[in-house]
Amino acid sequence: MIFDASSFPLPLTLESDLCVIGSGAGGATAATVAAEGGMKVIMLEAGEFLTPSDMSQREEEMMPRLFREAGARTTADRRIKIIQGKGVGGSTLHNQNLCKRIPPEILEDWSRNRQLAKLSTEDWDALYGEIEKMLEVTQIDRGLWNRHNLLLEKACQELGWRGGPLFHNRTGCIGSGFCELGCAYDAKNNAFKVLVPRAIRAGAQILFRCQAIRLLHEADGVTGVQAVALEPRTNRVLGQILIRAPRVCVSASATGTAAILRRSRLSDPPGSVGENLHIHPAVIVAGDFDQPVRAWEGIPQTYECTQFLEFGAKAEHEIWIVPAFAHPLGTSVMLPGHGRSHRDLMERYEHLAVLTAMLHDSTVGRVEPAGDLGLRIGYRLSPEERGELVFGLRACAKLLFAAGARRVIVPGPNLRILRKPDEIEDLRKLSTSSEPLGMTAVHPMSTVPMGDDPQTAAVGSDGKHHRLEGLWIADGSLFPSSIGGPPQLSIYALGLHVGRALLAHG
Amino acid sequence: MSKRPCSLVALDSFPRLGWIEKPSPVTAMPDLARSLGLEWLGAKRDDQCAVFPGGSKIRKLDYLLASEPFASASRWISMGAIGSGQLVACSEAARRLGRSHEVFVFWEPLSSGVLDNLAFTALHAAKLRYYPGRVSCFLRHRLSGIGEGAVIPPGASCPTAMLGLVRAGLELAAQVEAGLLPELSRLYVPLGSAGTALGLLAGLALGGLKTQIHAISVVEKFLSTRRRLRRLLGALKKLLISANIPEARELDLERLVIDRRYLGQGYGRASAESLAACHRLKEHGLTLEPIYSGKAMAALLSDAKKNISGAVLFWNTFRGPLPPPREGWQERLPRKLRRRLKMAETSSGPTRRIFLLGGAGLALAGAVAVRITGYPDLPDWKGKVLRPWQALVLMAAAEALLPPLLGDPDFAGVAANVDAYLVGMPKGFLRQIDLLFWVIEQGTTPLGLRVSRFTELQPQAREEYLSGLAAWGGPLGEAYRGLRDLCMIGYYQQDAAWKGMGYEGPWIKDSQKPDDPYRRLLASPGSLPQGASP
Repeated sequence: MIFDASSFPLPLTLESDLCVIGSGAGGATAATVAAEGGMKVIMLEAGEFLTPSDMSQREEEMMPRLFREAGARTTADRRIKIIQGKGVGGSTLHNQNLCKRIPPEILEDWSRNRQLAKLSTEDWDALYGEIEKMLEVTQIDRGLWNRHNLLLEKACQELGWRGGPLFHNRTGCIGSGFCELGCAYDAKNNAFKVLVPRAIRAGAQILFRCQAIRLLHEADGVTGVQAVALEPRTNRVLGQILIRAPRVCVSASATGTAAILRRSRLSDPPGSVGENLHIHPAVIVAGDFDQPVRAWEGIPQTYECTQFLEFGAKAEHEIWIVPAFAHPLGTSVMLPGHGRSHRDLMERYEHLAVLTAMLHDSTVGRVEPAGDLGLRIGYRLSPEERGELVFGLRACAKLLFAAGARRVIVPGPNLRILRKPDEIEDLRKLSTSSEPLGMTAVHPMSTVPMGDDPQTAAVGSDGKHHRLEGLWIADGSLFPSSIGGPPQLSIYALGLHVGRALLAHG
Repeated sequence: MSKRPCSLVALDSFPRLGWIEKPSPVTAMPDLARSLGLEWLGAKRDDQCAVFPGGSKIRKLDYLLASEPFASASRWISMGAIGSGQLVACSEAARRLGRSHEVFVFWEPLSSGVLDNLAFTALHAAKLRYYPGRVSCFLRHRLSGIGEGAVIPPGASCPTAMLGLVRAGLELAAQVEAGLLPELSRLYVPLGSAGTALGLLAGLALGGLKTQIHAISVVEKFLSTRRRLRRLLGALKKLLISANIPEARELDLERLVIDRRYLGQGYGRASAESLAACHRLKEHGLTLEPIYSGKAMAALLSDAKKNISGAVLFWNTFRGPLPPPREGWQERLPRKLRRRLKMAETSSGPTRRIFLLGGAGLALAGAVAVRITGYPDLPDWKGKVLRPWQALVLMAAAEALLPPLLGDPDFAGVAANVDAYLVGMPKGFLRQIDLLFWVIEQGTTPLGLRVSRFTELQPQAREEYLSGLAAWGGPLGEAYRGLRDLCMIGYYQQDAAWKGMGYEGPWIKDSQKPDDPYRRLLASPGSLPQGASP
């Protein structure tokens, strides 16, 4: 069953075979495998239990319920907005349902450099096959694409740039376009819909409004989790909950997992925990079209431009381009200025198409705990990668003009409006300037990079901690590097892989 | 137009490089004129001067560098702020003419335009010396001329260089005579080292135009006193008379109006009005920068509200676009300047110190003035996070920052919406919000040089203060951005705000909630999980 931790008499102690921290793609999958294998499983989720009938399609109501810090989380220098989800189902409640496998070049690189004996490229293939079947991953029929995505397709064709359709895990979608605010139609084949009911049927218990703080451990191994119950709405701490368990699987996202591990003061000779953060920083560019685009309607992302997304040592560019759009509140914050000039842009809302250029980043950041409940994300984009992201801005501007935009708007502290393609080159200056680029990142990953050598990694390729018995990791923290695309499919796959390893280990 | 007593030919006795062969174009701006209620408005496009990088500085160098000692010197020495447009023009001139160019620079606040200019100068100057203060830089620059170098005066404002602007005035008179634009009642131009404004004053008068020149001061008063201007004009007159232009005897400052209201926080600092003017003119296809031309345009836009009669011309002194800087240009800077740039870019060091000092200063000012009391009651305020005075700050900010013409915006509703948004935020985040409101409310005196606190200012003054914070950048820019974002979050969740955007709101209405099979997974309230013990 699913329990509201804020309703418990506190303090409270619980016992189980396995405590899984986090109920997103990784945690829900690992917990389901373990529960179906006969383990008594308790899952902890800091967010709420939200069902389709809670999804009101209103930003002001859903952002505080679906996003960490109501969508206002940033890096420590406030230069990059970090969007991370919460709630039973984790970020799969609000994501855009994109399903992409990790490119073979990256998997081969990991195998070569990280000695992943228990997770070969063949293993990945098999895991992906299972997960894609479980989530009913399909390519979206072109007839369901909205004008926003068709414009990107047209632009790619116009410029002769590489692009193609995207794969999704959704069934019964009616194209309302409110995906980022949770699906009111239960069309997302996400952790909440596909895995949580299965886990519960197998006896797993989920505690929501329950935030894990640190791991309890002795010399030999992990003994449980110290957590707190949070008050509805205010998130104030109500009291303590201790979960006694000989096994703990941490799946609290690349930021949450690293913060919990560091807060728990585990032995970490490689010093790698929290130190290898990649986030896929992204920038946006808007095109103003004569005809309405109504980009908020329909499935948000069905087409991708991969002209500049290359992998491997010889890659010249590492930029992935897809449509990106927000509802009015998100758009108002994104557009620069105030007063009449800001309103003029808002009144073109119906005519705007927005593209985002996301960087397959090599820059590494850091995650540290901040007190018992918070964390600090340090990430400063290297000058070379800033240049690459500005290249992405220019590519987006070219695409928008090619699609027929009459002007292109580059948001930032200084509003830039380009009226003809010749002006795109002016954006080069941003490569070397100190002006904030208005970056957003939705894919934090790789803060506990897996590797079979205990000298260089804290966790092995089966997700098992090298030093602390009973501790497992199952989320995007495990990626040894950036993966260059949406991570949900790979996190589900890791959940399956680690859940099985955990069960086999006993 | 009165009879034109003097033509371009009159200046031919002075040597020049010959860079300005054709008149720069005049662009009519009928849409902007209509919206401002002006009979005619145009821009004289020195940014489109044929010689790279354009801008009025090229006109000065056209004469100056052809004269002695510059014509024969192998080494030129000039000075300016790190983002000086003159240094860009001098660097390009030195490159074209094969001279060595040494520059002395002093600090000014950063902007993308400043960095563009600095990158260009750094890449092309033979030597770049950095002195943080203007005075020390000026003295070093003067002393550097002892020896073989030819020292270009600051702003290239000397009588010989001003001939380029006299020529520009005559050029405009010829364009008026040719019917390319109507006879002008006013001309707006920035006033820095005064060479441009005075040169144009002379040129227009010699060309027979009775146009009033509105020189918008972008430097502190002590640098552009009327006495100094009279002296400079006197020297120019002497030079013109020596070249057999007797009409120059009649030149005076009568038609020169010096307007010092748009300087803002000082030389080299963008003001709210100048930023707004740059933004507005960008919409009309004219790129300005906020330190010189933006301030002149801000004055024009403001004056236009007072029913100006006749045709008005804006003289765009700004240069044309520069090529993107080569990578690694920073390596050519002196280490001290590199360090200063890095500190400014990372918002640490002096910028942060200024912020902290400002915070301490404003705390003291607040205590002395007892400004933390005396707020009107807000009996209906039911906020859970924001205190009543903070709600008042937010309402005041919303009034200043949200768009006009939207009927009767519900500012109290904006504050209530923001309060609801902040419920549930982490403590650290809320501490930052507290600091933000404190800085906005009490910072008007130390940061905005205004006596009243933020909530007591008129909406326009509030908007100007907030725009000033935005222009400052760094932590103060972040404070502006944070407050602005809160206003937008509070406002754009109101259905009324969506009017005119084409957005119809949620598809789901309360009455249409689908059946929900997941609710049965929820344990009944009060029940405990298996394995629980108190």
